[in-house]
Amino acid sequence: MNLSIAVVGAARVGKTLFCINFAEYLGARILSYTQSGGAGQGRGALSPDAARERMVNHGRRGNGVVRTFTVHLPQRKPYRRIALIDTASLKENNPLPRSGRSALLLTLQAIHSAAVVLQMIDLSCGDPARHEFDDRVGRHLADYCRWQGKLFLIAGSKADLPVNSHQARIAVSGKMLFISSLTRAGFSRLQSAILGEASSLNG
Amino acid sequence: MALLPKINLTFSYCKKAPFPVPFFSHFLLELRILVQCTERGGRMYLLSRQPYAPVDNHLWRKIERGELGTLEALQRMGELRPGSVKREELQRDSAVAAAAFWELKQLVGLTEVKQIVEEIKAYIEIGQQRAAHHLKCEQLVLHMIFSGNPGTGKTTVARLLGRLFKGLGVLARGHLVEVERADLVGEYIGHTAQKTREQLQKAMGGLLFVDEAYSLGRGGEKDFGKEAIDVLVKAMEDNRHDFILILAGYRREMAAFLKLNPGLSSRFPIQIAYPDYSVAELLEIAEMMAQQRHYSLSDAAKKRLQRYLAERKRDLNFSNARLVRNILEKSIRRQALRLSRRERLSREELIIIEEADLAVEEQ
Repeated sequence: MNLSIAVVGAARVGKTLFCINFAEYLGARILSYTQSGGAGQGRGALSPDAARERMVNHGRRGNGVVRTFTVHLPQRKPYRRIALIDTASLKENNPLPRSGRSALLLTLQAIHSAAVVLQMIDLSCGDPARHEFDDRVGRHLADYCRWQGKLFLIAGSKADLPVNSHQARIAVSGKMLFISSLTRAGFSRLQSAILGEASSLNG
Repeated sequence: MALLPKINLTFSYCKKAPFPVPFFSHFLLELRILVQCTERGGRMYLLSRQPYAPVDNHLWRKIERGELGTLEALQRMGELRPGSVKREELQRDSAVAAAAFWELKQLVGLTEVKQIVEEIKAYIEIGQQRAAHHLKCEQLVLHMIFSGNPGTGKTTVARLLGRLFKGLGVLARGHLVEVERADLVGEYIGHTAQKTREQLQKAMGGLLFVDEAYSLGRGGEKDFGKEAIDVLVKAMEDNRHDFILILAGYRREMAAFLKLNPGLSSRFPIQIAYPDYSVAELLEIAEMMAQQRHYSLSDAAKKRLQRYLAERKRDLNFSNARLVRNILEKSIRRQALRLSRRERLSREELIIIEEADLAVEEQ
């Protein structure tokens, strides 16, 4: 059985680093991936180090790319393969520019195709506008997942940094798990939450 | 290491392109120049492969055209129900369904109606649970025929059904559009179809209640009423899960109407007969109506009303609960007139409707 997890969130929240590190945490030594948006469509395979070096975006803006990392879990139950979908950053601008529209389209399609939706919010962020945006995104995602029967989780990222208390109180109807993509703190709990609850969803 | 560019030509097939294709509507012959890059530590192959399902949804197209921002798009997705774009507005609200069902239970009499509605409600609820377990669940066709004398509760029940079905997620809006012959039948050729379609459009997501539906069958072959029936029948088939059609009318006339239109009866799987209320039930209705308005009938008034209803029940045009409501409303006005001549009034006097107030003579 395969499981797909869509990782969504605003720009610079740590989605790509999370996907790479979580894939490595799950046991992947080579990261095979497909991607679309941004520079074009493609697929390939990279070592985690190379992926971190090339894929993690250190700029202020998202790159509009949606990548799917596939992690094979031999001998593991209940899933043999996990797809971690690193989506494009969700932006508040309205109307969106043409490039933003195609990134949003790809992201929403990725969410639509995934069994688990993991929203990442930046716990260290102190921008009230960003909190409000994350909050509204979370509400809509929670609503969507409820109707579609998908598992919806919220990961408070950058938990290794000083936490902004306002962001931690974000009022969305999901489960908040504190993680650090960098130090991998909280990955164990996240793994059991995803695998445990997703398998119970599948009956 | 220097980049080693290599040029490949590929042809890809796409049944439905995610963007308008100017020359090929179904087949997109796509020429791509692919650059294969090789660097230290990893390889990247750029291929023309679409990792996600082709876009065939109206919502996706709106996003692509930039008509929806991020939050609006997410909100629209949140309203999306699996499997059907048309049913995206449907939302279950168990509180609305429970309230409507409770109100239906509170109605006096109507045992058969309550039984049928309970069956439908149970079927829908169990169907939703079956769907959650990936079991097949056929959606019921819920077009109905209500036959009964005036004042037997046909419209009241229809209104409650609208709320109940909305609460259960069967109808998107659950509103009731009440029409009669004049709202459907036109005056010249083609006018009837247009008028009927307008009413059907208004009723989408709710119930279309055609009162005195038998009048559509009157007037013979050349009457435009037949055209209205044909349009309704077509809409029943085409939009069977988007609205519910209820044909209502007096029992005898409806039976004759259905005989004249063979094939119509079988399109209405739910046919409910509304019996006349008994005198005891009508008295109960009178007390309930008075209570709802913060009034109460005195014992003498009750006895007088009971005698009057027993006498009137034999009339051909006896209008059941509607007659009771008319009597009560007139009696309330009479009580007010009587009390207005007095100076000091107790709370009890303001509530009680005496025998003398009862407006039973001219009804």
